[in-house]
Amino acid sequence: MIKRLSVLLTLIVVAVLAAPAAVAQDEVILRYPITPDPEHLNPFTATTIAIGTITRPIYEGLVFIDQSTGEASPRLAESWDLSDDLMTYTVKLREGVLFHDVEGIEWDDREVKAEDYVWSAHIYASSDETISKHPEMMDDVVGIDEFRAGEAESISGIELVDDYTFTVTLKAPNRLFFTVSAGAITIVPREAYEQLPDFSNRPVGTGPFMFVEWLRDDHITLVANPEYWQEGFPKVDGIRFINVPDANTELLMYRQNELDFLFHFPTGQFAAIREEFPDEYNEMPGLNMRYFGFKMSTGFFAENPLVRQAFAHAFNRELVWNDLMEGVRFPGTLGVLPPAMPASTPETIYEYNLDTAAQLLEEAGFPNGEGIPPIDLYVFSSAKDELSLPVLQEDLRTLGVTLNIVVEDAATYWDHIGQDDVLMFLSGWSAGIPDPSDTLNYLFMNERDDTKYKNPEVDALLEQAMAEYDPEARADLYLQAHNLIMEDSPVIVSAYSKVTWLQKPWIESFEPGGGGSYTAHLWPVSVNTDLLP
Amino acid sequence: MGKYIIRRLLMVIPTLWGVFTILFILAFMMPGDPLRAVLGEEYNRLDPEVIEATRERMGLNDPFHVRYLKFLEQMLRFDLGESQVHEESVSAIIGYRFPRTAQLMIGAMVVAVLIGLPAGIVAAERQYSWVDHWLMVVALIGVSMPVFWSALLAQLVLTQEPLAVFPVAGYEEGSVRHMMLPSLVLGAYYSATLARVTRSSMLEVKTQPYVTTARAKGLRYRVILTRHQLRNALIPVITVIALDIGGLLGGAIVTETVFNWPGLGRAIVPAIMRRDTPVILGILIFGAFLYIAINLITDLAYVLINPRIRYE
Repeated sequence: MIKRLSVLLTLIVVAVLAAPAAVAQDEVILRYPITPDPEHLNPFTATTIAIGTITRPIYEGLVFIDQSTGEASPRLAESWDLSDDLMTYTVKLREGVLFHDVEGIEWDDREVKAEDYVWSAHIYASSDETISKHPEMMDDVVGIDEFRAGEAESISGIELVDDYTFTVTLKAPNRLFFTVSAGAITIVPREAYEQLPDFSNRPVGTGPFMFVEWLRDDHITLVANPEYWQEGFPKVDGIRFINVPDANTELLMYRQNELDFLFHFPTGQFAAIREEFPDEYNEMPGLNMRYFGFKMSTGFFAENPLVRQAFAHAFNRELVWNDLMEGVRFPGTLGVLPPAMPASTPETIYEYNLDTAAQLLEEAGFPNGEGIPPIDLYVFSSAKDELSLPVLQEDLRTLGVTLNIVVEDAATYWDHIGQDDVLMFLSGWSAGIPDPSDTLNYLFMNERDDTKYKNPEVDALLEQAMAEYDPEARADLYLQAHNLIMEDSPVIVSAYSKVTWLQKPWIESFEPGGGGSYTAHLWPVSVNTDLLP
Repeated sequence: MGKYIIRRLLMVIPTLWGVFTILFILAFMMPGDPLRAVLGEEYNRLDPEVIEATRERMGLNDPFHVRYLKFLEQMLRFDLGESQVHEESVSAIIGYRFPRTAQLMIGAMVVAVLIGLPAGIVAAERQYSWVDHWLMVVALIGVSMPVFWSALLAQLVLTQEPLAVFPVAGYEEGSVRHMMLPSLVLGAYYSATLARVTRSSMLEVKTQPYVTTARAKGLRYRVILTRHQLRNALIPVITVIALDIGGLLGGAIVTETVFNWPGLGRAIVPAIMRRDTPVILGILIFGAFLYIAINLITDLAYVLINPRIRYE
């Protein structure tokens, strides 16, 4: 009896294992690892890159933004005119672009019209945060204040001209109209928003891929949009975003051909993986900057600018990032703007030199570090193994300064570092677009960042640069601001991100840009089926 | 019996209320800001007015008693609330994930019982033989090996060439193929405890007078073993299995992460990281409820196994 049972069991096990995985052979599906899961898929309330990764192939806006120059090129907008006073955009939409078909809405070849832009813009403009998390995108449109105050039914600065044409009038010129302002919104069909009960988790756009299903924490499936307006695209039949929470698992899956890409390298294995997959490894400069911030509004560092400069000289970035961390990032030797950003290097940069650092400390009145209180450096838990910490600690120790490392979990850390008792912390910033404003305005303007840095001169220059349309004059303004910031030294720049990934030999035309896997356009990506295993 | 069950069910209310209160206080005392926890550096990009309005809506500005009463009132209406991070209700989150965790738990339990019970019986029947020694050494290793380690090890060996028997990870609509390795890893861990408990319980029963009587009557070995020994030895074994099911709810977190299994554990860890209080409370209270329910069922199962046990 037991014998018979065990034979049966063995047969079942063999049968299950021998069963082929449920993959249709003739369909080409990109298998793209993600983590964490998106919070939801509602573009109006999206705040994280995890959401953007999934909605980017589904929803579209007026323009494409070049990842290296920030230049806009036509997308749903076929063309546009800017008035001579730089305040009014007249946008002409591409004709014949269709929204995806979706179960639950009765429509037939629903075309994108100018009124879809107008409607979407009004949703974005809402001051109810459950409806829109990005009202600031519409802040500089004429008539926005009256609309929000309830005095007007619609925003007077947005006008419908005909089915495919509309105008947007701004309060002041904004050269980033298409990247961060009213020109950057995505166009959503009103019917989906109003009629789909699960709109937040069921995106419907015009993009190259259409939403199929989302199995939480497992995978999200998209299929190619057969009626996509860019003829011949997308090049694959679908995308499967596979949630892989553990980098080691991601590596094992990649090795077994269960994934077409690898984006998260397990800690400490970067060099080994590069060696294992020399032909599949790719890298490009990223838009993130990693830094140690000083509290600039109060406390020890606020009172001692020379000590800040001394610390900036006393950190061996090259040792950390080129050697100890196996080259996962670029050492931060070019100031506060990453190399992927079109910007010039400032004149003041802090080279690693312990003698200069000691000299600065002496000038500041702390010879051999005497009189400097022990410093607590706050770090979020996922960065606790970063070797920049012991290196900085050791470099400062030789100067006679004690640095204690305080590790906090992310929620506590982010809440804590804004407070006055935190004098030094490790942080980072990712620019969403390759424009210096997207880093400088958030980190060094109007005490916006947790350093609470404020320099009216810098504020004025950044303000001026926002309104400067001439690229050369603008670059000069940014250089001036950059120099002042480096002089003030509110941060020690540690590193710039490197976008690194593995891709299988059969993947072609994948160019993720400075934002990495989160901002990559997937419609041009193709699979060379001859190379498939 | 009926009265007993009703009394036990009524006891669930104060127990859950106690659990809720303790959890709520803990969640309230946790340092950190949910908004920043979700947004990280992106926080700087948001309009300060949006942030303030969100804070107000989430009730983050309310004092302790207001938030406590609000939550309690919700609970009384069997409403677990909305996640502060996902645009989804907590009951939808649990409804999606619990069946998946349960699936893994059942798989693990089947493995644990299939390995643990026979191993324990054989070890007891062949006490002090080399089989007994070997089984117990293996069981000791099994108990001492944390799941996160054995999971990684199993994944490294059994999913990669040349021994790529299982898929690396994933759920795949709950396919048996994807379920096997995580079940095996979790089940193997629990089988070790089960084998040890079964062994000692069987040994204890073996020397009881009724077993000697059965033998003296000349009953067949298999009848003595199954009807007289095993049935009486099962009470502590069932207790351990029931306790393990509770443990599996927690132990599955690691397994779920390593094997990309979309269960409850994968929801609660990020919820804690992001201070998503409704989700934390919802899942934990659901877990507590489940634990109480399993305990009740176990107590009732005793009656079926051993008719001498009576609840008045």
